Amino acid sequence: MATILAIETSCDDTSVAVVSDFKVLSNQVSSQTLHDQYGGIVPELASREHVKGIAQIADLALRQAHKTIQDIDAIAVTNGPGLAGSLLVGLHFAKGLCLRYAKPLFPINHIEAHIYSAYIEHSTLEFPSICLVVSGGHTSLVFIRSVDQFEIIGSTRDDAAGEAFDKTAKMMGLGYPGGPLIDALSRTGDPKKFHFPRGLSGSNAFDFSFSGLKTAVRLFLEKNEGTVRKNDVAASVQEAIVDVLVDKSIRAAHQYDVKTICIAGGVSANSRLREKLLVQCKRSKFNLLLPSLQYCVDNAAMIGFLAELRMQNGTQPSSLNVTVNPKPIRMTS
Amino acid sequence: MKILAVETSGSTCGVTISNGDLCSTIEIYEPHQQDAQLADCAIECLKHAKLSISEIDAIAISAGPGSFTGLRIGASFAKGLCYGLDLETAIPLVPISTLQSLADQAVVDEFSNHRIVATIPSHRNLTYIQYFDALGKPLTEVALVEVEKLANGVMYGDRVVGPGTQELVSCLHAIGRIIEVHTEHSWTVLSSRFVANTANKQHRAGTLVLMNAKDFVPDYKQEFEVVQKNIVES
Repeated sequence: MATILAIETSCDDTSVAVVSDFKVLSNQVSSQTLHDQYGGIVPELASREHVKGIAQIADLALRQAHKTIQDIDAIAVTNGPGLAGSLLVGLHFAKGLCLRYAKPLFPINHIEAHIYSAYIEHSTLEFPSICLVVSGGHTSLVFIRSVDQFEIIGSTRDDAAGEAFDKTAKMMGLGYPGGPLIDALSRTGDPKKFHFPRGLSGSNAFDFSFSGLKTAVRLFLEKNEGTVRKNDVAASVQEAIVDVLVDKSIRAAHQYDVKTICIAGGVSANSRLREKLLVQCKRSKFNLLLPSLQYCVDNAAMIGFLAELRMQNGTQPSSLNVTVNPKPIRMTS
Repeated sequence: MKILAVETSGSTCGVTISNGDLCSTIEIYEPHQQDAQLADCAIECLKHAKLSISEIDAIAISAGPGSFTGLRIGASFAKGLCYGLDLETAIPLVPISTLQSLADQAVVDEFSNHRIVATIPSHRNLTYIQYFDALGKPLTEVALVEVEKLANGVMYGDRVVGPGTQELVSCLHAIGRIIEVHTEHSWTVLSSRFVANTANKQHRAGTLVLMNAKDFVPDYKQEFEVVQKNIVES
């Protein structure tokens, strides 16, 4: 059993968590809202916000967990992928803490933490499984054998699913971030009203493509804007994205002969995706692990959780010369 | 007073420990080394000074102006080093102006009457500049100006110091202002030793500012303006 202080600053959320014996004692997330006015994240502003607030957020996380820094056995921190300037803040705050309090450092890959995040709320680790990682920056299908044994079996060739939501929302003049806005609008829309392309749906591979959809939406809006209900457009676009995600996840589970499917990443908060996956999993008798919303978005709890899994597996801590690694995992096929 | 000083505001990655006088310095004068080397510099430096981090009374940091990323690496690292849940366990932070740390290195003696010009290059042909008197007292605020404009403001006998020195001298020649400025004893790199020296000087003068590291933000000297091309779609 170990108590871990975890730090996550890969994008625009500053998060610090305390995880002890695989339980999340605190998970503080400070979301930066100043980017909304620009319609996307401004890296320099994100980095400035991280450095301003990181120590106070660590205070909140420790206080909520009723721990002091002396109670902590190890420090875990995201060192990639993400925005380099943002990652550097979390990593160097972590290095300073490790040096000051003589704690071991566990650098954690953000996507790998997302992959295992669905297990935070499940006491048993049901492996093997298929994990669908969907967020603003990533869309991948992962075959998980066990802790630290996984294989990316498919990734997006162009845009991430979250980008498709954000760009659609931007083109429709809805605002940012687009995912929750489209989700909300779709509830009163007809998902079958318009047909949008399902990228690579005919292919047997598990790769995704959302750039064709983006173009189709743009052309559709140029032609029809003002004459169609926004709710129907939102629902139809969402349906196109969700169909591909669900279809490939189910197919992967069959092909890799697993009994469990889990989802992770910001887009896994999408209500239609959850609903359709639930129906399909029930039909095919798969277990579906749906993380609660706080673990779908970027959070430090998942960073601490994976660090503790690794410590239990005997993984050795890193030296303090570990660097950030901003590049995303990309599968070329 | 035992001070651990950090310099990451430019292409230097350095840590100095001082106890009134300098005890040890570990420094790398090469760009892009801070991410990998800063923590190791601090570990080595403490080892050579035969001190543990808990014996340090204050962390001094080069607070800016300088490279935004470099300033944040130093600030984040310092916030980790200083961290304590309450003020008893926290180590206080001493922010030191990067230009002041340079100017203090160019002070010769109290009988001189030359001005000191501290310069740090920013982006494009812009340079951070601040004028000081011969004793290192600021005469002006920090300004961000084009090198040509800076060259026009320099006077005979000024003592130029800092990483912008060479560029300024070249520019003086280019615009035909062949005036004599003193650069012979000028430092053209940044160093954690300068940060430590200035902290010690302020400590002796009773002007040292100790602050809660949690509240520190780097002195960027530039508001960040958002232009469309800088936006990452996400």
